[in-house]
Amino acid sequence: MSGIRMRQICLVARRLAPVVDQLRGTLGLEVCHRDPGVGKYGLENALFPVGDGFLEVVAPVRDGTTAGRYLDRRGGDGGYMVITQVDDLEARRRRVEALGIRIANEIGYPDYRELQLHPRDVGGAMLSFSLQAGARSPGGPWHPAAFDGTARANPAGGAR
Amino acid sequence: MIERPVEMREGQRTIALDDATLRFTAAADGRGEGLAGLDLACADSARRGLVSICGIRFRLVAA
Repeated sequence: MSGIRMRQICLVARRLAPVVDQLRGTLGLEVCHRDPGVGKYGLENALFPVGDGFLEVVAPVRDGTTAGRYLDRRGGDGGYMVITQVDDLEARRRRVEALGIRIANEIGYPDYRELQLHPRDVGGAMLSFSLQAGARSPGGPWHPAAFDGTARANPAGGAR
Repeated sequence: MIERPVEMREGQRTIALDDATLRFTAAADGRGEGLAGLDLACADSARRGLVSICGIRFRLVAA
């Protein structure tokens, strides 16, 4: 059985700044990265290190986004996506295709590839499989957070 | 889908990943299926407890 780790949880909010303030004030988390690349989806975001993983919050900055429709459907802020880190992305692709699960979106960079599964085929939250070059062990580099793996994200804790 | 077994733990269906556990409960908050809560290991005992942020129940538990 190939490895699969919880690496990032994404939440969606109508407005980003108040949630960032709450995560700072209540949980003591600090923003480590804001990815301008999510702008192409009509979003802004902030990432926080949590243990060896990351918590992301996205918020729509224009009308007509997938995230905005999700907020409408769910009646407000909430969980959005579970992003796992896997050892063999192509095996995962073959598995989901064999099961008839649609791939809603693919992200590709030289060091990072991600398959986002169609939420209507998965149920619950959106699920994605990601392959990060040079990160076979926990705490390694992670492209979505612009994290190079040279410093532990947050020694205070992590997802259970 | 993720090639990990579903196990019953304390009356709930769970799937263990390498470093975390997915826990499935009945959708009871009227919002439909979705990610509803996160349990986080927390070294600071003063912060432990339950708090709601961004529509998510954060449960801060002992590391």
